[in-house]
Amino acid sequence: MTRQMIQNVKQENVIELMCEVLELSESSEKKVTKAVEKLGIQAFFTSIDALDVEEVEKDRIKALKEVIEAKVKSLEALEGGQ
Amino acid sequence: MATKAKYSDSFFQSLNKLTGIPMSKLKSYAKENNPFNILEHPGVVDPNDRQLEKINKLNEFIASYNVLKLDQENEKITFKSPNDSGKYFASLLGGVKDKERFLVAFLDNSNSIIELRTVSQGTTNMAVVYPRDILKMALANDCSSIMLSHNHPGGSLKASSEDIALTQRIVDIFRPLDIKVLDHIIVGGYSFSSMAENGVLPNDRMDVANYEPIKLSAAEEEQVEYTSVDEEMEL
Repeated sequence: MTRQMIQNVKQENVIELMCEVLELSESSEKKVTKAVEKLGIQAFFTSIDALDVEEVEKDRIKALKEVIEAKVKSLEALEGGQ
Repeated sequence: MATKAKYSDSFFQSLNKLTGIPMSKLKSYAKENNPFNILEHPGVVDPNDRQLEKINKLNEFIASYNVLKLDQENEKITFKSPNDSGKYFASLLGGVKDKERFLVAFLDNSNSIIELRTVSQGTTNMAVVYPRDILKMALANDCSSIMLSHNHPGGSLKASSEDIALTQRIVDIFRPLDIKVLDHIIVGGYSFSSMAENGVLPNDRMDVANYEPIKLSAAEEEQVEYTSVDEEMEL
């Protein structure tokens, strides 16, 4: 298995979990999957506002982004010797 | 560890939205504890079966996301040419025919995206852009430059005189702040054109900044240069 293939499998797994956490509609799942595949996971989270999904789903994606960012900050604070 | 000051209401709202755990429980626990303990040891908030399932899923997602993020660490979206930015915006606006959408990408000093925002979403032939909103977002993102893009639902790739005037006004607003407007990408169908590449991006003139809302109507004319983006985007 090449490195790229491994990364694709990891990405598919992340997309699948994300769609389950967010409880997206079928059509939104397709749009989100396409966007992550095109942009990568990090750029996807910087482009939420441009996604063509329902506002309520967009809000849940933004909520996920906020939790991820808060988690990173929390770990940084711990690693910083707090 | 007291966490009271570190987490905002919107953070607790986000956690509530994703897990279904009531805000009161989350806040009460976070008064004296790290709220992320809830994800690692859900029992501390006595969740019901549904909430427990959501917490476990969220945990699993965060772990997988962090691994993938490490793999993709160096894959930030960076605009090195009008072709890069055109493909990026066409992947977001390509095929949108029912409404006109205006996007702004806020960039750091290496032209990598800090954040992308929709600043206006109008009807098939008109969108209203509020420069003040763009300015607020730019300052919040502490960006070095910005990139504009909107779609023409009718498919034309030519910048209309209104598109050029709008761009000029945004350039005038940002110039004193040393924030450069790098380009304005117009997307029609699944193709795009770059105002910078076509030499119609205003950058030299300095008008008095005007913060009134801008009405952008799709007075679409014959198309000029375009680039196909049928192939996969490679950034």
